[in-house]
Amino acid sequence: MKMLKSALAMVALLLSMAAFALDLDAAKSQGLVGEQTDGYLGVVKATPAAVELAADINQKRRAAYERIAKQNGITLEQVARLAGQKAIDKTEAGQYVKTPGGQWVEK
Amino acid sequence: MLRRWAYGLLLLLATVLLLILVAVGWAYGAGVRVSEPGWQQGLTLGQWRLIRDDCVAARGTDLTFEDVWPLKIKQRVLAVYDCSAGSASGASSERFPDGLPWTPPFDLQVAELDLSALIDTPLPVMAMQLNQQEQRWQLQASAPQVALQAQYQRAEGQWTINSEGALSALLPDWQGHWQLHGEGRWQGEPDGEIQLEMRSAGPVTQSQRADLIAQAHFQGVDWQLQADLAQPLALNNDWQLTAAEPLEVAGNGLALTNARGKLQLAGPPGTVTLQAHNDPDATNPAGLEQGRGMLLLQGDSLGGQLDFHWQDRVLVLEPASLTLPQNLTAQWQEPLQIPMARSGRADLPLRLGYDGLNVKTGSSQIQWQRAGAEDASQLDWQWAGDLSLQGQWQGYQWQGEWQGAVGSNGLEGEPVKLTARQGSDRLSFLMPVNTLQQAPYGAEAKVSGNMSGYPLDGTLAFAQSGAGWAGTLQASTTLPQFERGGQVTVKAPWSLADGTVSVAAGSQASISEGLIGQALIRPVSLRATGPLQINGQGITGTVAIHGGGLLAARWRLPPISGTATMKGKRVQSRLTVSEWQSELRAKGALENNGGASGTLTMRSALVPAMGVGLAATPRQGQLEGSGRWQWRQTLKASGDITLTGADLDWGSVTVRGAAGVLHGEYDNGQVQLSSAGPVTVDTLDIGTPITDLALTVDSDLSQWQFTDIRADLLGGYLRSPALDWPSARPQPVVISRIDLAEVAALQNPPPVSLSGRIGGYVPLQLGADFLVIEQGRLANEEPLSLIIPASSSVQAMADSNQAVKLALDSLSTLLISDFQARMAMDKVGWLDAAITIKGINPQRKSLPVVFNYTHRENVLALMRSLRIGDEITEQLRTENR
Repeated sequence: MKMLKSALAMVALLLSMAAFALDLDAAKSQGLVGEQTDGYLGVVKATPAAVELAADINQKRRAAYERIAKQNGITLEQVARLAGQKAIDKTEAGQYVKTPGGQWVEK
Repeated sequence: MLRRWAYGLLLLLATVLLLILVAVGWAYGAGVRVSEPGWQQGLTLGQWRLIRDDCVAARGTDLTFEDVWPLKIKQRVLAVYDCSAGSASGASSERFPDGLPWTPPFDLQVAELDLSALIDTPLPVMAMQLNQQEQRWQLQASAPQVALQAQYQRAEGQWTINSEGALSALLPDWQGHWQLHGEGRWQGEPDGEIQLEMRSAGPVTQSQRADLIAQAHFQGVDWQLQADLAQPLALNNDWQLTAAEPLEVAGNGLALTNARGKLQLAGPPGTVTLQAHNDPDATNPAGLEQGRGMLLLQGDSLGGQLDFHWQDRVLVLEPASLTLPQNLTAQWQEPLQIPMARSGRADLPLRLGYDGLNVKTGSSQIQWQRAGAEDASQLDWQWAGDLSLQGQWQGYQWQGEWQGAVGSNGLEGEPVKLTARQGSDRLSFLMPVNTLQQAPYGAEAKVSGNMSGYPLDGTLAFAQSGAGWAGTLQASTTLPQFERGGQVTVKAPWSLADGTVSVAAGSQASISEGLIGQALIRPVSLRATGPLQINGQGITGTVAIHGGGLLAARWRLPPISGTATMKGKRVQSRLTVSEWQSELRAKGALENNGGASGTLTMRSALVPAMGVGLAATPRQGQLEGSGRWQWRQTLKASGDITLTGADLDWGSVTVRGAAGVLHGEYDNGQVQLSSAGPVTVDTLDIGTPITDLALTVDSDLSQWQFTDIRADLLGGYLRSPALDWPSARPQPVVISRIDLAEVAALQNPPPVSLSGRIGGYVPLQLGADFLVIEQGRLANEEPLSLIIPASSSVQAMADSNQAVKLALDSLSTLLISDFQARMAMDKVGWLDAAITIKGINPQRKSLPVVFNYTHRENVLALMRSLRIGDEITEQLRTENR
């Protein structure tokens, strides 16, 4: 009986994690986040999960951009703009990208 | 014979014993309880109490029966208490006795008679002797500055009373002297007269003194009173009573039969004049006179006239409109008829006002009934009806209604309903009154609605507590700035006493996590660490603050914690962001004009976590600042920020050892920054190290102006009088004494050997996101030399092309007399350079050499190299895992 309860609790925990966790692909597909020309992820439709995801991804991107900038003798901003162009190019149709004018559009 | 004596003695003892038992039984049945009995020259009782209806009516200590006939009792302490309020039997409603009862002769002496519990006036403890011999009663009582004698002859019913003393003995705040004399008959219905004189009377706080003479006659329920003031009588709170005409009043029980006089009460709000007189020759068939009078209110806070008359035991108040202190008004449009009787009822169609609020009665009736004959506290009364409220107050339009009853038994009826409106604000209050029926009074009011765009829902529970009130405030709202979450909840136990609200320690207000725009606001809480005192002086107490921080796509504010200590209109707070090693201290004070001002200081380390949302990453350093702020409709602030030992990384560009003082001004969204003295940087590495950089800064955050720019560069220096960013035109940067040996040394190992110094100027246009070089020129400032050492790479270049071989041969060793370089770069990164070198090759018999070289390249395209692109692609590919 005790094992059954533990198992049920584990299943519930996993289900709740699945319900709350939001990965980048899913967030893009749901139109919650999109790519921007500055190289960072932007929030299209604000939800707590989308903001948390964007902040987490952007923190990692910034660390990578800084590393690349140092290795190549350029500024972080220059790397970020290059990355922004690449990320927009790679964005799949139907997902959101931000125009230079600041508008979110579906690609 | 002996046997007869023995029988007689036994019979006597039995009789005495029986009498004692009867006495004890009677006393017990009368509610007397004794303890600590003893014998000391007579029977003694250590303690005794007289209990009536479970109420201690009297209590005595150290009672001694000194003699049995006549009965002589000595009592050290006798205290008498008021049991009338709780009396269920209505003993006081019994008919007034026809006289004092028959008693055997007795003598009672009390050393300390305490009557202070009987009446509100703090009577002094008195010594008393009461005796009766041959049905002549005599009473003597005395206390410091008080003496009283009274006599009563039961056979004739004659009574007299004489008393005198200092007013301060009865009224501690007053001074003066009083004298009382009374005499009459008390056999059946009492009658008599009492004369009271007060000499040099007045509050101790006032210098004015007055003499009062009052005389009262009574016979049964008929009574007459005459009083006159020789001088104006000063009262407390700067009020003064004047008798313009002596006062003559007569009545029958509660009914006023005769009144004549004119009294005037003058004080800070104005004057109140009361005058009344009988209608001459107007005695009605019941023998009661009739009369009329007027109450006139005049002054800054008083106004109106109330005419009244009495007839047939009815007092009639004519329609009136009165202005009272505290912005109160009262008016009625129909005569109010009030029976002057122990029991009665009267309709009260009233309109009451306070500030801009008006309360109007619908059905409105008051009725009363006096339960006891002599005790005013036994008056049962009740007002019943319905009220409606309307008006403007505190900027809100109020509307309310209530139907019910209020009286000596408390409140009962429908819940009170109130609505307040202002623009889109609407608050509804609902308060049941059923819990207000008896002490301790309490209720729970509900409030709901919308205020300042905030939906509000809450309860305010309150109950009598000691001399004040206490309860709990619970409220919730959602801040409109939040698109999700942002629920505000407040839970605050409170108490109210002496005009001060005390919010209990542990009271808490919290805001739940929510979104404002694209910023995720973590939970915020405010908790009272001790009681918060709120009164007219402001708020006093300390609140602990904790904020979970903010999170946005590109930036993050770590958790904040701190305290705010309030003292009246002043507040002092300390907030820390421990992850940033930052501390902010602020002081502020509310100003009388509704604004606020104060000072603030801040101290923080520069840590990499601060750079999450910036293009640069702080590595280390210290930031300190201090300033002043002011809020008067808009926010203004000014202060200085000192930066020391700051290291920043901007990608591959590094700043080391930055320091300076910036003065900032903020005025309603406008920012102005200027450096106080030069901002210095030990090393700025942009691929080429620039050292000992110094400049001054001026900026409004949209336009930056750097002036007096000086730095050392490659053994030489650069200077610029001013550089604006962004700028619309090129601005010159002068460089001089650049050591070519240090230029060659930038590569390791140096591919060439250079000597000599060059200089020139580079006009720079600093765009918002681009850099333009327009007609930059460099030239030698002294003869230069160039040596291309033999190396495998040089040999490989020479072998690859005959023309290159010739050029390398010519340039391998060169003494340069003329060096000219021109350069330009456009907005998109195309760099054009043209170099002319003139000199001789000393190893070729001073062969003259003229070397022209042009170069064109897009420097920004360099960054789009395949290697960088691959690294970025890899980062984007793996970040979702």
